[in-house]
Amino acid sequence: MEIKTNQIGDLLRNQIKNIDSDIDINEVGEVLEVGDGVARTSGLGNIMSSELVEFPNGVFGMALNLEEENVGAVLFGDSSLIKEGDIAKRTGRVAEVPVGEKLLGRVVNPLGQPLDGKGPINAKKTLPIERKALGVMSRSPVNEPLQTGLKAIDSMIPIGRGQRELIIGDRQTGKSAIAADTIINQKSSHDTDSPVHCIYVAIGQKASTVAKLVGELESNGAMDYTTVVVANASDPAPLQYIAPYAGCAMGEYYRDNGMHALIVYDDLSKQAVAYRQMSLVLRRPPGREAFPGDVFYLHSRLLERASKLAKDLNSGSLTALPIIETQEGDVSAYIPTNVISITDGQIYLNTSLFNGGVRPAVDVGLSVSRVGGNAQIKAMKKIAGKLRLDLAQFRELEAFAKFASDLDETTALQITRGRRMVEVLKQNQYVPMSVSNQIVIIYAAGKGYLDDIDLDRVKEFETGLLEHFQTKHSDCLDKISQEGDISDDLEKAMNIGIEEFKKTF
Amino acid sequence: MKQNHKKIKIYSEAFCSLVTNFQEFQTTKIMLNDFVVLIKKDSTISAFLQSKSIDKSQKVGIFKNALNDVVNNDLLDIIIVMVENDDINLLSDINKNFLSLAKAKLNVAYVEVIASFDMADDSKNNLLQELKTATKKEIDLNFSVDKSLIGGLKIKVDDMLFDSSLKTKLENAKLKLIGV
Repeated sequence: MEIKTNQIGDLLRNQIKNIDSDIDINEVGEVLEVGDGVARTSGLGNIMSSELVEFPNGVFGMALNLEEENVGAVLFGDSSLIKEGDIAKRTGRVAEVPVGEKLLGRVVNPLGQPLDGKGPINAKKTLPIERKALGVMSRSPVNEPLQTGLKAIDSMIPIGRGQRELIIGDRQTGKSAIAADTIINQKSSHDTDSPVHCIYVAIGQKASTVAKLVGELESNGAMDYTTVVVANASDPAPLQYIAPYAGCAMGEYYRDNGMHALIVYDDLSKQAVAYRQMSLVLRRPPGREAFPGDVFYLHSRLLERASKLAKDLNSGSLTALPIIETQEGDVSAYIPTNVISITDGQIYLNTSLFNGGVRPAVDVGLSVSRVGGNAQIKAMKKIAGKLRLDLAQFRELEAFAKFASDLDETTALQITRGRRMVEVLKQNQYVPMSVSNQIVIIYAAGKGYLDDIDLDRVKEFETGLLEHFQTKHSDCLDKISQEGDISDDLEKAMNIGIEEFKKTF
Repeated sequence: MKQNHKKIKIYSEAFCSLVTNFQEFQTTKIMLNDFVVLIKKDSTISAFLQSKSIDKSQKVGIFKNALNDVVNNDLLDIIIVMVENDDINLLSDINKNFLSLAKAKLNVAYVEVIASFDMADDSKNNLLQELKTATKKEIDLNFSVDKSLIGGLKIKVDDMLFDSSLKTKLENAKLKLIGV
């Protein structure tokens, strides 16, 4: 094909005409000062609160302090990449994160960017990280159980879908372990028609700890339905501050689409500390323990977003398990009291119980679920109704028995049974138990079948009994999980099964 | 801090009351800018102003003698009041506040044009006229050259940045390619 010079010229001219001549138009400001993860900028007169601001070198920030003369923006990146006089651009967008099923199995930062090296996340939808909690009419009471797989919790401190249950305790008492077990236990819900998707938000933790947890979730097959949002201890305070909100937005996607989600905030004490740092650098006035005045609202607006939706909104739910670390068991410190008052109950973990080998180290006396029996299946309610009270009495009697030499028969029996019940409620990490298995063993202990078993053989008895039921009385287990109740016939069958096994033990 | 804020407001409003048209605005702006630079960068002048051993009346006298013929009387009066009250160190902030007040009063837009090459006077004039028509304001125009732009212009009108530079286009293209 022959092309003449003037034709080439025409072709080139046409191509040049099509060059993108768009002009980048932005409202901008100038960085006045930068430091400690905060940039102050002049200009940006029309900026919205919580709007994303773009700085040079790909650093983003969020406008938080809108003052007459300047705007204070917290930085999500390295503040050393920004200098005085740099241009700050408005983006017109409030901070938002990708949401949806594409995030399952992924480890992301609070901006929704992948950290796991598994490639980009092609989520179709995004949601703003800060959203208003739903109103009264959009909600329904919590009435559906969320099984943690932990006997001590499912029997005495039941958690319902849409509930906010605080896990509180000193360092190294097994708080994160309870959350991890709960996530792993949701695997069973994925065989039903109402699966629970999980979001684990790690705030201010060591990267190695998070990596270990992700490894455990993966090896237990829990990452298939879990998203991990990470703001490590080495990340800037603003990232640690927005991490729970980002995770919550991801959870709300499931809730709003008629599905169920569980979110773990591990932990909100560190988020409060990050927020305190940000607020002090933003020159907001400090209050008690140097936290800013709105630290209550920081947590209340987050936890209010956990909810069970009304039927006409497809009955989705978002259950929240916030974690708070106490210092020397002091639950009356500022942040713990705040979060206790916001949530629908708390699981209090006790250091001395933990060191005494009671794991999970749940302090039954101080733990409570304000949703109560509404979040339990009938069968569990029947067998565990008096369990809390019995255990509390046992603890008192046990303390009293230390001073008494002679005990009457009833008291001695109560102590014997209480000790066995405590043994039964102990559970290893990463081995959550199905609700039907829990019911069988708690029923056996409650009915006194374990009274004559040596304390150090209780675990062995439990394992054997459950194996026996799975092999020879699986119909009983099936009935419990299908009907959710214990009929007289079923109770008889259970008694027969337990007695059968006991003869062989 | 609050006290300073109040003083800055009072002085800048006083300077603003002196300007009634764009020409006066330009003259006052240049004068104040020069003062700010002098006070910041000239160590002799800054030491003289901050000196506690020199009497205030002596400072005022020196100012009057030196600037009587070159600076507008009203402007000089305000500066002398500042010297008397030891407020001359606030001049930089006062200048900034004055600029924003005067711009609002006289309907002036501050325009900064950054080009990759030195523009010819004709082009500058054309641009000025275009900007006047577009903004319907008097234009306080400032040109500068930044070769790193490669081509095109950056025009900043108050808080709005119109960026047609090749550098930004290439950066945007890069971000698109790496999927950010």
